[in-house]
Amino acid sequence: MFSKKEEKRAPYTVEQCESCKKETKRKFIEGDYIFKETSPCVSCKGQLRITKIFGEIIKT
Amino acid sequence: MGFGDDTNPVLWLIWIIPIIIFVFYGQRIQLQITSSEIKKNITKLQQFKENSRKELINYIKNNLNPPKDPTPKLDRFIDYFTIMPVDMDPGGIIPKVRHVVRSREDNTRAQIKSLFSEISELERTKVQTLLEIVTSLQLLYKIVNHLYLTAKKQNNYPLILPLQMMLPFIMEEANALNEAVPALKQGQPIGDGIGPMVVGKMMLGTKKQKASFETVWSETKYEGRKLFLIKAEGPSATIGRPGEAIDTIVSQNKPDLIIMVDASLKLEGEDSASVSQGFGAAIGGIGTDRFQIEEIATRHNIPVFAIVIKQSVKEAINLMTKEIADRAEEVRTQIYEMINDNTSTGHTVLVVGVGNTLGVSQ
Repeated sequence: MFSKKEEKRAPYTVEQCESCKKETKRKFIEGDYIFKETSPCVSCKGQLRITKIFGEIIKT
Repeated sequence: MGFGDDTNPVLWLIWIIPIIIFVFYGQRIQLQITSSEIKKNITKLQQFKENSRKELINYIKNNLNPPKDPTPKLDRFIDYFTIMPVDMDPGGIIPKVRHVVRSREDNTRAQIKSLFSEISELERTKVQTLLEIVTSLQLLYKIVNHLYLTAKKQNNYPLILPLQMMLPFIMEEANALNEAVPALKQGQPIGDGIGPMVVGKMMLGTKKQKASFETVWSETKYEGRKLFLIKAEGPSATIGRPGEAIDTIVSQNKPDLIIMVDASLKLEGEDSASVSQGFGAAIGGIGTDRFQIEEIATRHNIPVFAIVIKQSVKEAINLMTKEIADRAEEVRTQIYEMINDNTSTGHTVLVVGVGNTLGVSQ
């Protein structure tokens, strides 16, 4: 009666360009951590930095 | 004939026998019914304990290349116990508790390092946290099993009632611990990391210095105020030593205001990821850090404000949810509002991000 459905969450990483502020969301890769500087931005060649890592419920 | 006919001996027996059985054996029947439910949960706890142990050993063997098989040594750590100081005379107990807990942490750290010829701080803290999870699950299993077996041995139904009442809460915590293992292994931020995440962003571009063990501080400016920022050193799986760090910064700089940001357990019915403001030292744990912060704030007459981000036990120790991560910006705005409302130009403010900083740098 009180049993809950198991919720599975998939990890995602959000990167933001420090110059143009463009945000991109991708799947989490091991080694990612918040505020890590990653690759250059494809739009403006600015520095991308991870701003968020979170889990989102997988829709089945 | 009929229900009112009490002269029929067969019908009379059908009524009276169950009553006699329940009078003499009712508690034993209840004990059997309750036992089967508890037994199921004990089996689950045993699985959690064994799976987490297996995952820890496999993680070490597959990722950290220990020179020798770490299993015997790990099994010894998992069984370690801590004897808390005598509290009959509570005066002066805090330094004793701190000493016992620190000794345990220092010893575990040294023992983990001894398993490897070389190990990074990030991996060492991950192994230490995983080890704490396995130890906690082992302890929960042992306590629940002990209470269950004692009640069964004594055939004592009332003895099993407290266990039956507490078991849903114990299972909630055990489930949360069990599910935290994958996030920890991959170095993903957990819900408790929201405090370090908020302060970590404020630290970007500043010079980070060591404040105390596994804890960093930096200095920045905001609308004519001097801000001192403190958080555990990320992205390792550590909470640092915020009590000691605050003590050092307050002694040297005498701030006019302390703001602490932390995750907090939500009450049933409260929304997850909701943000609340209040007063006092927002910090969990065994209480030694909170004592130290309260003591120094009182000595210097500094008001302590708190901002907490509400979450469940499961959310606090599992991969950070999107709802919690999305609150970081709002909390940062609230910190600046709090600074504007309670200080003026030329004042100094200490902002502390409390929590496990796994997967969150600065």
